[in-house]
Amino acid sequence: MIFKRSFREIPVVYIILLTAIIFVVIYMLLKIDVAVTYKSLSIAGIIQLILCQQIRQGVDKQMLLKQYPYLFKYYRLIDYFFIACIFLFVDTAFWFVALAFSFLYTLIGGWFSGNVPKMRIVLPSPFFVKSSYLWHSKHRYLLPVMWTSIVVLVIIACVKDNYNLGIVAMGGGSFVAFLFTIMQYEKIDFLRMYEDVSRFMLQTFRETVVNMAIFILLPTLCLLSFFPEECLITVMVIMAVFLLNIHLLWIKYMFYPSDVLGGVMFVAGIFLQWVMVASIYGLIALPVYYYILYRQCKKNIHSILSNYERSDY
Amino acid sequence: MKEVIIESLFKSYGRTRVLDNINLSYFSGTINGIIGSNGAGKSTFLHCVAGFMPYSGNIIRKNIRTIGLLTANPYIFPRITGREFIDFCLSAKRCNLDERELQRLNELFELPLTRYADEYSTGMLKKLHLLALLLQNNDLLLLDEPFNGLDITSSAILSELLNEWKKRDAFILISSHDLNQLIKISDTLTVIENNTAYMKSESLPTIGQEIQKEARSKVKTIFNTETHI
Repeated sequence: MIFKRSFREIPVVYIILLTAIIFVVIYMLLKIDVAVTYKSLSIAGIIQLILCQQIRQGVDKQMLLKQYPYLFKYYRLIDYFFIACIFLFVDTAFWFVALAFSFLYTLIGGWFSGNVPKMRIVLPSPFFVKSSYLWHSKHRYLLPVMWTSIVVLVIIACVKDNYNLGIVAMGGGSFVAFLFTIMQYEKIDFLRMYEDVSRFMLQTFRETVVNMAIFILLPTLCLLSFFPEECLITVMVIMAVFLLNIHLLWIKYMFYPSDVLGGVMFVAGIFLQWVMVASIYGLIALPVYYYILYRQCKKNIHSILSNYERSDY
Repeated sequence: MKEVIIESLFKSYGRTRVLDNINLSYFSGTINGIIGSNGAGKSTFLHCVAGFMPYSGNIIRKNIRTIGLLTANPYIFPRITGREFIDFCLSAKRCNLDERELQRLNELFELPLTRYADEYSTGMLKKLHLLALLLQNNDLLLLDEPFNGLDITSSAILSELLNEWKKRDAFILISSHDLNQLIKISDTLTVIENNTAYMKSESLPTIGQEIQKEARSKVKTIFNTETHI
């Protein structure tokens, strides 16, 4: 009954999009052709273990579940069972292996998962209220690695006299980095820090621009000094990265609190812009598209903040 | 008689030792308060007593089959009503729901049980978990900061309720920062500080006065020093 009621509460647009995603994923999995060998079966088991290990329940949830006989184990087993379904579409043999690994992990993994809190060093950003951007604890390794890799690739591009390598490294690398930082999920209490909608829009915009500027400053300087004759393309790529950032930011908060929908719509938005820039009329429509994004994002944030105020008693 | 005997309890998070060689014992029919500064290890202590967390040492739980634990920030499943949550908890513990008891308790807690529990405020959520725990008749009740987030009336009601439960031979351990409430209801007071725990032997009101005195002298010292500078 609860499941049926929850299902009825999902907006139609979500159901359509999620169904589409599920069908695409199933189709892609069905197309994968992997021979069933000991090696591939072992790899399937290891992948399943890694996926299971990624699912962590908070301490309070664990404590609630552990009060009731077997509930914690059942709960985890159900989660792992759903994950194992991915393998069913590739090959039944992989599915059985994944299920076996899930069962074993449920039996022995309970004491190892989630009981030992990891100490994470957080270096608060000196630039933003939101310290989650460049120095967020979860991405504290990813971002410096990305940044160093981009700079190294730009230098290699200079040595090899290959501008394309440098510009692709900068464009692609910074895109991945911004995708991880901006799509970082925040709780509603965090959004409330911004107090009002206009402040939220302004502050997040400013943070994104400053964050982007800091991140791509060195690679841009390298590219401009190593390849001064290609400065026009470099500037255009920076513009594109800037637009992608803003696009990502507004799409995220337009569909907040749904990360999934935000992610899907972001990809759809990229394709839409791709189509738009193919003609001069599309280019004219681009600012309109961004204006709509801005309005919708503002509208959603407004409704989130006002709903929160109503329920805060 | 139900009993919890703790012998040489050690607990560490990585290299950080939180509980170091704790030896204590508690008996049923009592309310046992636990105090300590922030991060002293009160929640960890309760989680270890419940046996929901790995630890070194020995914790003997005599005649205790069921344990109810209220965490400091109780978890709630999304999109289920308060009533559904209570039904879920009771059926998971294989207890029958006493409708009259539920009604009586909810007359005190005044929870909108037909509403989604994830829309409850912090205090309401805590009351919902307490309601579910009190209906289960657990052999041992561990309450981590139960007064946090409750309004004044609800706190007073909870104190009275726990006293009522004590009369029914309940066995309760409570950690709280609200010393006034603890002193009112507790039979013993355990202090957790410097990774160890001990029971205060002084009378409970004296402990309250002592803490107040110590705090006053600390504030005086700091502010006098600053004035001189």
